[in-house]
Amino acid sequence: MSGRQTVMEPRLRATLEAKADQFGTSRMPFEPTRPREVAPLVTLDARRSTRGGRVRLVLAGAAVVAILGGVAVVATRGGGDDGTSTVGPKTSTHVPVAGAAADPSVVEGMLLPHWVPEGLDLWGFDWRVGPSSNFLDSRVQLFGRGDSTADGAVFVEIQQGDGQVVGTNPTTVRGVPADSSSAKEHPDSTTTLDWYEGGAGISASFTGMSQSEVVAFLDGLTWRSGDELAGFAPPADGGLTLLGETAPEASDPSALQATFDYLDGQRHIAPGEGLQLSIHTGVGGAGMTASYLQTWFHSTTRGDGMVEAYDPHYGTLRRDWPDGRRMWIDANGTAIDRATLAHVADEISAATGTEVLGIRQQVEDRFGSLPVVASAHVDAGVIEARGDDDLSTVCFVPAGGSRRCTTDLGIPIGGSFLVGDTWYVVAASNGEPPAVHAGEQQAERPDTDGLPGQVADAGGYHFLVVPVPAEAGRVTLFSNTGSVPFDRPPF
Amino acid sequence: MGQQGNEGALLLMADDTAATAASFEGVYEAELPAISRLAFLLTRSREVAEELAHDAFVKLYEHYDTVERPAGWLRTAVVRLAINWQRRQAVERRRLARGPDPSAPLGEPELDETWEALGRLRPERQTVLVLRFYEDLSPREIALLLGCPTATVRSRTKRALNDLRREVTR
Repeated sequence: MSGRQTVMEPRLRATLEAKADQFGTSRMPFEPTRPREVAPLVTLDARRSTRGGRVRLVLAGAAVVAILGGVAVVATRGGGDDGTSTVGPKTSTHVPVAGAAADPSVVEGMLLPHWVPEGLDLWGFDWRVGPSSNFLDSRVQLFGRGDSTADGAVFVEIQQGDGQVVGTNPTTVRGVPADSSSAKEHPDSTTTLDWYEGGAGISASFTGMSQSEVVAFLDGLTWRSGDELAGFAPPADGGLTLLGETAPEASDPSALQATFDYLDGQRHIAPGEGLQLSIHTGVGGAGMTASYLQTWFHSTTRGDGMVEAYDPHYGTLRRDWPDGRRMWIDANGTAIDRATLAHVADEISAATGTEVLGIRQQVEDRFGSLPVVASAHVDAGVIEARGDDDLSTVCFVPAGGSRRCTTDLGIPIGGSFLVGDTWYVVAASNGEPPAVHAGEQQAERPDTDGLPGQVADAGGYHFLVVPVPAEAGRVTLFSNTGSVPFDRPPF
Repeated sequence: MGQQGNEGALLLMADDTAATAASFEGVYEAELPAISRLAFLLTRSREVAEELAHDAFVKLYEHYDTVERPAGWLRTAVVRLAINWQRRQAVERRRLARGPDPSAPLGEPELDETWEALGRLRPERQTVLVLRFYEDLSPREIALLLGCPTATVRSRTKRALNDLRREVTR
């Protein structure tokens, strides 16, 4: 990958090298007769960084899975024409079962960009309904002066946990050992205190106040109850008031989230090259979010309650509203200034389901214009691997229908399409043959055959199309590069 | 050696391939640290990394007489073992809902924060970042290793860097 480095790349390199050095050298003796097994999982536990302070839970993005009934299939392979074979139940030819009718209303209200700088085209679009990983299981409280954070504020994150703070700047908060460090977002103006108390790990970031002032404030707080996750009671006196808070169960509400990737005419994709924009939006949930409070901590409130934070370090702009709307705009290290990002943000607004369908069609058409790398005919239609040096996609032209293409830049190995009332999952792999399995995502690729589908090999690719049975609400596509869960698309 | 068991492998080594055995030991000595570190960056666990590294060497041991470039072969093996482990771990994480970084903090706030943020990315995105920015593999080399188009690696790297930036600025 060429192009100007963004600040993230050297930081990532330094992190990986430091962690590798920390690992040191393993001098484990070679024992060829030791049973070879996948290593047992280590017991996972909440932990805190010495700085950084926030107690954060890790949730794999790909690990969001709904439980549904498994679909048992006895499969066999039968010959087909031109290298095509069909995998289906022994006793009958698979016939897709009608599923739920298309319903675009689920994306009604999605926050959609309506203006971007000239020369940028939309090359990636994906969306989902569900919680983000931010502040999962945390109680978040924001304290400020009056109704503002301008003259000093404390952002507190409380999470279940038990441990010992280890750091380079030891101090004492509320009578227990704590550590003080510079906050990552604004190291020159923000400091974070970390400590454990009872059954909780607490981080308190502050700005516009001295550390001694903040420690005195924290020392004076009382818990609402014996459960630390219930948070601190509002201060009875003193200069700071509780501006807002979110409960653990409400700190990460489900929302309609979308990602839009814009590239320039040369389709530069490496950080810092050409012009690029990635826009993430979210709407919905139960009102004020932890993300809103965090953005407020780093900014001031606008007239309608909107808060905005700009990070010049990365060139990202974020806005949050107290009703749960949020947007995050990233220029990927390119020369797009704050004013332009703000203009983009100003023109983001709620869309109708029809508009969202139009956007999807626009992006699919764009991906459908990429050169065909390989393709194969199966009974259900034509599967295509399309792409060039920068982008790739998997397209499916159902028999008698129009071309559909994957529009998610992050998972170009397969696609999930609703055609009429039939849900198809399609894959193209030039590694090991892909497979689609129903039910909860498996720990490892199952040894059993996947759902019945139609397969073909052509141009060095393994192609697969699976008409998913109506009773399956979620499937997982397995390939050699990983596994991707798909939910039944609503439209 | 193919699919024969470990006992068979040992017997063959002892009887017929003393020279090969010596080379295997040399490869083990030379490559174990790098393979273990790569496994650690991919799994974020010392115990798992050592186990997977060992598994990769056992696989190499079984196929040693047919492997031309052991170092590259080992990297491919350990990356694939790690991907399988990540899938399994993803399921376990859902049950425990807790993050898995048992390694000690570096004491450098920016790096610790980046490491934590990296751990919150989808596993396949973590993998391309480690291969790109630690192993310094080109997109084409990563594509060959993972068995996917180069364009897939490029777009996945872009999305992974975007995600990482969003995580550290959230």
